[in-house]
Amino acid sequence: MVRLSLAGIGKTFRAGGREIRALDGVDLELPEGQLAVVVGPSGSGKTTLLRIAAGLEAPDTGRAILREGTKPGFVFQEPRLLGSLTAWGNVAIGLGSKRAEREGARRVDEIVELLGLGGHRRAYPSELSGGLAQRVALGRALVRDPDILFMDEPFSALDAPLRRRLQDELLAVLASRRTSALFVTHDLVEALYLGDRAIALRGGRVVRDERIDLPRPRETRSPLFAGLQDSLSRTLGGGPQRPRRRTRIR
Amino acid sequence: MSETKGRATAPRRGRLSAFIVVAGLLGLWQAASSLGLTNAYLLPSPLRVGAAFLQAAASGELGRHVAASGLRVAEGFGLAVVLAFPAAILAFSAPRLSSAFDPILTFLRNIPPLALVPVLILWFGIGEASKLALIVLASFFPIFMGTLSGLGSVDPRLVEMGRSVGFSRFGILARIMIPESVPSVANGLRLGLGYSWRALVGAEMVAASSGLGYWILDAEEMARIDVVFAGILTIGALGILIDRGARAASHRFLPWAHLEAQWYA
Repeated sequence: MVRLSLAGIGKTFRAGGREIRALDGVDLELPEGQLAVVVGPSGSGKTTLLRIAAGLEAPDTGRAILREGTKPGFVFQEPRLLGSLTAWGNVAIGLGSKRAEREGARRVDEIVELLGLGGHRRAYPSELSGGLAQRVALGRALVRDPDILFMDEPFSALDAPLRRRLQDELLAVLASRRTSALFVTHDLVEALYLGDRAIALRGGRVVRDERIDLPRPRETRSPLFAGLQDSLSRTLGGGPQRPRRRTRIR
Repeated sequence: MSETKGRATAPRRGRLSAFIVVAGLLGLWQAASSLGLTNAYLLPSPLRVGAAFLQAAASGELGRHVAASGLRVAEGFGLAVVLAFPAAILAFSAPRLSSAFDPILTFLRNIPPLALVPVLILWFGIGEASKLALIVLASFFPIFMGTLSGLGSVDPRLVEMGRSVGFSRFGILARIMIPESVPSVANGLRLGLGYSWRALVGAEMVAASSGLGYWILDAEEMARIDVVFAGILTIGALGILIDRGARAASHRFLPWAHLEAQWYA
């Protein structure tokens, strides 16, 4: 079952009298339960594609269709938490209305526990570290029980061990709920670690779109992983990638 | 190790040094008076001022004037809040309407409220209404501007987040815009309260039969400079008390606003 369908998406921005073609005829279908990672260098149109797919921006050409009845969830690059609410309140706000928050208090508790925020439920955003704040933002999206998650480099500001921990938590949550996800990143390792499918974007066009059949849990130092990373890097116009030193996860 | 950041503690040293400065100034003032360095008619000693203050407090005169002024401020300031807050939300929600009214609002904002006293007395008479109108005029603009600037400085990315979780326009206003602008609104309220207090004392000096402004003017006519100073010090002390009270209330009811201030500091 297709959750999201993009057909002929085009978008041009005008800045300083210049026209910048951000997206040029992008087609994409995202089936239920698939985690598709959109990867590409800065300015390749990844974020614009995600925003159009999520309905936050309108395309100039083409159509973005979310299957009827599909409930979306969003995780932005920054946590975007409300300073006036505690961590618990910021998760609860994802339910969309005061009434839903009253009725869904137990669900909020579950998500808060699931993401390891139990000890911080009464903390305000200014008291939270970057990792905790981003976890709250993830909780705000998950509490809606979304059918599809749109994620724009949500872990890019975090240090490597924390990023890996949140990536693993995300994979576990998505797998348990069969949630589809469109995940944007410029990090090839993150793309290959997370994705069921990698969509490489360059100059606003899809230059590669393929399933990632590496077994899970994925070992980023394996020759298969490194080979795929090199190949993807070449597609995107970069040189071969050296395998990264494995970071110890605390 | 906890990932939660620690809260900053209140600077006690600051309070101690403030106390030392106040006590030192009073001591110097008293010493200058005792040594005959000052003219007792122009500047009475702190002890004389204190005695006048205690006498007025004991007779109930001070309480009566403070209550009269306090009630006027409470009524006028309350009315200003009721008018300014929705006006700011309306101005923010309807930018075209707001630009149409901008010249008039800027014009009114720049008129010192005391300059309007004669007009207000003509329009509302010499009773309470003219004083209330003066307080409203004095405190409306700080509250209005504080609210408007708070609403205008809300991060648009938060609004987008609100849309992404399905909030309506009203939901975005009520759940995101207003709470996020609270620190700026609180600032406007604090300023407005100070302005209303100043305007009130001025109004009471012009036309009143009670209140701190009247008490000071009456004492001047009776050549009781010690009572004049007692009145001035009472106004200042009440200003400090009100400001501290407002700050304590905002710490109690808006703890996050203070945490954010420390966070950005």
